[in-house]
Amino acid sequence: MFLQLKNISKQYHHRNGTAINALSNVSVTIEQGQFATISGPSGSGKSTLLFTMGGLLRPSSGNIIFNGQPLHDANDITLSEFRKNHVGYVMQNYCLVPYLTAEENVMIPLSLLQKDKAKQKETARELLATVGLSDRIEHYPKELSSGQQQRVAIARALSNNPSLILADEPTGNLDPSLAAEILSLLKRLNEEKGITIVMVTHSPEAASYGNIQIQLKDGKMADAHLSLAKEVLV
Amino acid sequence: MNLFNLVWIELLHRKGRLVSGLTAIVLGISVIAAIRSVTVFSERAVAVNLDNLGANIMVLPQGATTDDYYTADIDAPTFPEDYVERIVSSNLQGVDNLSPKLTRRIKVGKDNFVLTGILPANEVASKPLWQTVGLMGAEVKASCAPSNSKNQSLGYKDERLQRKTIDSLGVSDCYIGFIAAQKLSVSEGSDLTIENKKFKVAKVLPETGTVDDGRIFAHLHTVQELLDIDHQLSAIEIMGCCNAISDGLLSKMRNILPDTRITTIGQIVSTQIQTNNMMNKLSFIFLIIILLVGGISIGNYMWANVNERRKEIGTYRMIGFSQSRIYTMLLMKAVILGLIGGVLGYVIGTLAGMILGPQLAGISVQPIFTLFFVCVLLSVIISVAGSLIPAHQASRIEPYSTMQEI
Repeated sequence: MFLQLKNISKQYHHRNGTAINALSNVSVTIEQGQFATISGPSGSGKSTLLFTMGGLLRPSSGNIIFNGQPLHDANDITLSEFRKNHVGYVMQNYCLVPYLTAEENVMIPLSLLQKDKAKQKETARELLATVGLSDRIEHYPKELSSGQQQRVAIARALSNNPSLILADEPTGNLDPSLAAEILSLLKRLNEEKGITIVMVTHSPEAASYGNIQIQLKDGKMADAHLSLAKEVLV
Repeated sequence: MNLFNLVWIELLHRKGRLVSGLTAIVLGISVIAAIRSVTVFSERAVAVNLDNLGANIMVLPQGATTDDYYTADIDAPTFPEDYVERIVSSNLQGVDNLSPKLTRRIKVGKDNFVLTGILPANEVASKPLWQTVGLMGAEVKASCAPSNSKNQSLGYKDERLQRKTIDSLGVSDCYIGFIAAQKLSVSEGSDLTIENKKFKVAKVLPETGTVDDGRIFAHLHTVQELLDIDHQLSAIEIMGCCNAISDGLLSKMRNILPDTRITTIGQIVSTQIQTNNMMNKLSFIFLIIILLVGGISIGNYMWANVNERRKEIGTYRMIGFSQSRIYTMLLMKAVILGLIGGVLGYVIGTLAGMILGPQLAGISVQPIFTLFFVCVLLSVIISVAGSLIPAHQASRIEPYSTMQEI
């Protein structure tokens, strides 16, 4: 199994002492090469589930196993290594470093993996070419459109050659045509490179890109099924 | 791209913040550099002035008191002249000048005077008033204070700071104290007969308000021969470096001359030591204040920087930066700020000292190159110390801090 979450619960503790259940006993299994989408109303725990999968959040209880490696009780170093080596992140707000050029932003994860600057540069340029930004390598994020910024974020997510890309509302800030472009790009990466993609989305159209669609409601699994099976039933 | 590149690019990106952060540390280090430069040169000037107070160590025969030396009774004890050679050959650090003396009360006419035998090459004409009558000679090398040529190169014009020895005093010449000259009604060039020997008054010393006013000074060997006390001394007056006295110079001398009584001229030594201590304490107080103010200022800057960069640090954490890497990144920034602050602080502080020193303190200030390393090291220490807590806070930023509300 590529990524398995068993009975994951996550509670947030408010300052006034009350506990909020963001996730309750959620169990999901994702196989390598799948494109999974997580949908649900606001506050249903979509992002919490995604961040837990990505080693960004520790669950209050339950187990997370990635390629046989337990992550639920891992320390900071192990989680950092996991994120550095295996995961690429694409976020709604792009999360680009504002004072670095497109090329430098893509080089950040590369700097953790290799010391050769020339090689880092070469890889970054190749990745930016892959997302169609060869002519924007020296541009700062503020000099790029929303779609271009998201493509830089995708190039950065690809820079560590990840087996898993976690995308949190990657099209949330984009107009429909740009959103379709980004979704197509993610789908292409999934199909051509075999990268497993887990994407949180509000949009039914975006959710339809997934071959596993996970529905959350009030922190609980509402539905999860293979789109292929759904199509057969229809 | 490496960690240093990331830190450097971030520093340059926020130039305004960089300037404000650097200002705190540069100002702090400048103040330290300026104060230290002025203090070092002030201390030297003060050391010169303190040395001008005259001898501060007295070597007397065993059992003798300073009163015996000043009253110079006919039967006052003595010790061998070669004791001077013993001290010289021991190469003790902090012994700037030795002035052997033989003193005896004598009668000239109806009045009693103290005849003092001095060695011209060793006798320090440290009293400024003596120099006003032209008693000049070879320069005395002092370990506490800079040399005369050094003083001149530093721009000291004050004649009183030029410490000299009397380098010539004829075997039949004498100097006569102001009151003694009045009592004997003699002036420069007059003849004076002492114990049946004829002397020529080479100088009438100006009034000093000390026992010297009633004394007659002649060549030591002439006095020894005249009084028939060959190769004997009543005392050796020593100009000792006050720091060396604090560090046990007296006990070292007692080991060399066990059968003598070695004492300090308390008032002089205590003034010298107190002044030096005060200067050192002042420097130390300034250092503590700057350390506190500089550390807090740089800490405040780093704290603001960390808060401003929470999302960005969250992004780094998301990408795979560990807590220790974030911590290192912030401390690297502190080291860079410290290095720049130290260099700029040294340059600005030294220039301020060089410009303001002569104007405000009346001393010439030169760059102290060893201070450069002290400034840079201190600056880095202040910067890193002030950044420890903000860097720790930064390393605790969670990787999801960069995301939307969850």
